[in-house]
Amino acid sequence: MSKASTFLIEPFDIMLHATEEGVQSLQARFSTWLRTLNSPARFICWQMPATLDEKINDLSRQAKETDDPQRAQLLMEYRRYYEQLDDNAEYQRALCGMAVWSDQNPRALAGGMASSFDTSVVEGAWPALFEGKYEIRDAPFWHLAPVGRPGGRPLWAILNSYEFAPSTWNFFRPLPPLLRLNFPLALSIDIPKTYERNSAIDALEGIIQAYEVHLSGASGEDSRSVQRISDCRKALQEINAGDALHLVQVSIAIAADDLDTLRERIATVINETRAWFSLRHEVGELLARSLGFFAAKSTRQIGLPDTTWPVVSRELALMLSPLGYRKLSGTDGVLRGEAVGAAYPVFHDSWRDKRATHEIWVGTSGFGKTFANNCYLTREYAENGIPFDLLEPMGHGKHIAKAFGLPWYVMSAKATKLNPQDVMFPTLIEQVSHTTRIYETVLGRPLSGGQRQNLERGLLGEALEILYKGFSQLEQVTPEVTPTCDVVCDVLAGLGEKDATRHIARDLADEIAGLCTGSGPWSSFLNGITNVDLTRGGRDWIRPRVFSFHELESDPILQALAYTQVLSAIRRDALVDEQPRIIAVDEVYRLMRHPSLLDFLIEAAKTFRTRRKKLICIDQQMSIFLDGKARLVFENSPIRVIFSQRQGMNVFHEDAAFQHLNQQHRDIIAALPRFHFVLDIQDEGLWYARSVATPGELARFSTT
Amino acid sequence: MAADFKSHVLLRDEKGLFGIPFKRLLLAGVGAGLTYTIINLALPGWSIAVAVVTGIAIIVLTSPRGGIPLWNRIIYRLRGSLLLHTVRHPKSGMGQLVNILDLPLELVRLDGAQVFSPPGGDFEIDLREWITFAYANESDGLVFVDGPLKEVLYE
Repeated sequence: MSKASTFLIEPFDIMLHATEEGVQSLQARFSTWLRTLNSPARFICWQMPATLDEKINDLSRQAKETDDPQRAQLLMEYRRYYEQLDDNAEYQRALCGMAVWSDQNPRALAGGMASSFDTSVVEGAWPALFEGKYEIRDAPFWHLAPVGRPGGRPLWAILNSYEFAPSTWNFFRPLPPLLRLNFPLALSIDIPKTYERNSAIDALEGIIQAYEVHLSGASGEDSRSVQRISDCRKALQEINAGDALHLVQVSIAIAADDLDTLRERIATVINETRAWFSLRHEVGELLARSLGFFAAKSTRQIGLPDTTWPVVSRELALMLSPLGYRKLSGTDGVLRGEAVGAAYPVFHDSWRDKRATHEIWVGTSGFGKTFANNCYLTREYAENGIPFDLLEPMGHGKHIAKAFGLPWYVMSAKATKLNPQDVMFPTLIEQVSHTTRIYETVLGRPLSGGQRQNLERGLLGEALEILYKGFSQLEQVTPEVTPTCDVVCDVLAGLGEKDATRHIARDLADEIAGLCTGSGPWSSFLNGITNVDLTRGGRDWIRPRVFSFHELESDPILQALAYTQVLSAIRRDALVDEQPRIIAVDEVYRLMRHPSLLDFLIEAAKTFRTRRKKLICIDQQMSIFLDGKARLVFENSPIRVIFSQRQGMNVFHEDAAFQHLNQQHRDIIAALPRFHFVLDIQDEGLWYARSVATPGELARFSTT
Repeated sequence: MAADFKSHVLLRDEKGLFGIPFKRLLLAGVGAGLTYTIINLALPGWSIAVAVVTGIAIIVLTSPRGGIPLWNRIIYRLRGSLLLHTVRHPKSGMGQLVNILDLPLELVRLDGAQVFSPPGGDFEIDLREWITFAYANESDGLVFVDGPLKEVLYE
């Protein structure tokens, strides 16, 4: 007998496959893996009732510890909400495992399972069904009871299958209803033998032959024999189509705190499955032996009388249906939504390690991005104390600013001044490059690519360097003393050693001055001392900030410049510490369509990543993140929140980044109703969720 | 998306009488006949009655209960009761019987840590843990010797 290898399998959400084609493809994938099985195997699903107690206790503790009364109030509000959720629902926690008795490399086996089941499979020890010592007891009925003080340990009973009724199985019946019973249980699908194809065919042909001989001599009606021949022929047909023939036994371990409840639960499970398979309640020595079905003990060693049932791979695939029932996972992190179908809250902690936490949110207007984003920012702030900077172009930032009692920074073409020369970078080269990028955006042309443009870039850079070198250190250049655009133009106009370069410098200075000084279109916005406080000002911790750009809406260039300067200031502060912070940029396309600002965004995304800052880029279409350089932002964002994408589905079909999505996933994305989204977290999983909000969040943000 | 489960395609069910397969009726008949023959030698007056009871008992005991013949299930239950009794009263007659029959007493008291222990055994070598030595003469690395090592014979 080969050594057993045990694996742990993360259940996925069958709602992401819940169409005719989706479940068919799932069944085909499971069957494909089972067809290749040539050794004994065992699938187990453990299910335990779960509560949100851990989360509730954590929130209570934080509410007591925090000095911020606003956070404490929000924490208590969330606590009440989770208590309400807990009272109205019955959550479970589920884990699946597979044991294979094979000589193959366990890592290769795990890889094979991961690709067939399309979920995470790791080699690992199975959890124990119970802890400590137990003994078998015969009164009032056979069960397993803890030895000594129970200490919260339950009683157990075991049921084994012995007969399968001719009925229809699918991914939704009969096993998932068992998993919906809200009590601790474990389900084992033991596959002690998989027939080699020729032996299976021989065995079935032998049975057909025997029945035919019997029928040829029988005078009366023998419907059972006729049906058996028909079943054998169907099985033969399926085996000839590639299926394997397996022997299978289902075992169910049920737990309860007292004998009456245990008896009731046994009856419930037997009745629930009666239409599909019969279960016997194990007694005496069989009870103790049956425990082996929940460990990596071979069927031969368990030594139970053989009551297995032959099934072909496509039938056995449906017995693995518990894999599709992802239950409540950990309660670490913040609430991201409620799983559609299963209706359990989805929590995710993106800060638990130092990898990239950037997110991309896409979705058509009016489908709930902004509302969900406001809720998310509030939860991160309340539960983890993580502040945020929200940059948005519609003016709805006032709701979140009002909710938190924050100053609302509204960028206005008339009232706001953002000096392009404000120091945002620690080195002169970076600062000059940044300011040059802003002037490129203003001029609407790159200062590179041709002889004249290169000269212009050099001259502008020289002018800026002259101005910055007037200060001993860049950090000392406060907004009050920063050179303004007209000073830059004056210096630039006097540069150049030859006539030709002097001429170019003057022309460039005139061009910039025409746009940014005097009565130029952007002079009131750019030419002057910055009047928005974007500095850190010696603070250790910066409160959440909300920047709205709706009063700049008429001018996309102004808006892009404002986004850039605000983001630059945030980026500058981000370099100082490693405190987590969220920077949410709504309508990020306004920034990305200017090539020089796109470079800045890419660079900022990389810097934020190393300093534990989360960048959330929000826009309507996923396609804008996949073209050209913008893809670098996409590739730095492992978390994707996808709201309705009716108009932009082509990228989900064509782009290699979405090859992990199947047709059902794409159909879901195309038809996502309002406030529904697909949460795609790289290397972790895919969730189909619905935005949920606490009454407080609804009151604060319902107008968004 | 669905599959219709079939009957037991590797098993031959036989027709019988009153829902009892012929093989069980045959066994009951043979059992009853043998009992009659044997009892008839000692107690001729009781032989028919005992044979009928034996026949009925064989039919009942071979009837499946939970997929297992009733007699088999009774034996497992008895063995379980015997084991339980032995654990509670190790020095009783039953306890002696269990020792004689060499029944698995360890099945009565089960330790979770043992029953559900992960499969042990030989762990394969993790190739990532191979050490590459920069110099052959490093400890545990290759060692060059002047000549072939002599074999030592132990007596």
